[in-house]
Amino acid sequence: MKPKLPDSLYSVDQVLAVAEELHQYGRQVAGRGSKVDTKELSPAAADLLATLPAGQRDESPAIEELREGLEELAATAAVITLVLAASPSAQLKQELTSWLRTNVRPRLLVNFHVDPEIAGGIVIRSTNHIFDNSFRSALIANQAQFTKVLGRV
Amino acid sequence: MGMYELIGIGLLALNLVVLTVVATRKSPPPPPPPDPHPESVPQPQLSPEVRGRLEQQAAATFEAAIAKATGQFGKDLDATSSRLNALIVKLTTEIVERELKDYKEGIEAARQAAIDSLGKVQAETMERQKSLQRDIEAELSERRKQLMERVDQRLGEAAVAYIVESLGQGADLGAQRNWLLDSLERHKADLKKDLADEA
Repeated sequence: MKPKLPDSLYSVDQVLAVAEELHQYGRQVAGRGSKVDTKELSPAAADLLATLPAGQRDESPAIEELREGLEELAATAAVITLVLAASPSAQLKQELTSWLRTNVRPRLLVNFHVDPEIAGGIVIRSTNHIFDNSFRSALIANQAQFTKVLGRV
Repeated sequence: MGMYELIGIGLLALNLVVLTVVATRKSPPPPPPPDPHPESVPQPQLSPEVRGRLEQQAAATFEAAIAKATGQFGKDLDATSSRLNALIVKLTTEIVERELKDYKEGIEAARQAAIDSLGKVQAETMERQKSLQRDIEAELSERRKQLMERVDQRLGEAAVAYIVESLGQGADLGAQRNWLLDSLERHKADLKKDLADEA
């Protein structure tokens, strides 16, 4: 089963953590034989569980199949790493993830890294390329312009 | 045989002739040798007076002939000497003029060669000077460019370090939202292609 990924679920580590969380949740469902409160789940796990049809959200096999789908996704999905100057908010992470899944590939995962040295902007690492749109590289690329600006001051 | 040798031989021959004439004039003609056989040829008998007079006449005639020949020879000698002197002067003048001309030509050729050589040296020196000047200007230009690049690089690095240090953790990513999305948009095709190649 290929689960539809919510934008709140973006990184490989997060997918693996949610898979483990669903595994535990499935065991609880199987042990109790009744509904289990989903409030104990993380927002990403709850969102993912919500992608199942309403009748299957309390069924252990469906949950287990969802877990297996997540583990397979973590092992095989394309991963893009975004490097930012500061830690992004959850909203910004979801917005960037949403953009990538809409415009590049639906089932990709995004790792976020923080590197203050880039000063600002973003560095995008895909499988074979690095696209550096950081402030640091922009400043370094325009050193001659910087001295011209200094001359005008 | 050269001109000088001919002149020398001519003068020597002239001297010999003059000396012979002078010697002839000073010494009387030798007496006839005694007849070895006086008895076989009868000799005319002259009186001492006649004999003396004949001898005087012969001597006078001889001396007159000698004087005439000597005078003529003197004139010829004077003329020859004059011609020889003129010839010697002419030859000497020609030789001197020719030597002088050769000397002048030699001097002129040497002067021209010196001028040519000097001109060539000057041209080479000028060319060398220009070449060195070009090299120096190129080197200076390159050094100036390198120094300017180093200054620009240092200033750029200083500016980047200052900005990075100033922003630190406080970089407002919310304000950069459009920048981030524009960056993703700019590389959308590259990302799609990269992930497609991977698949």
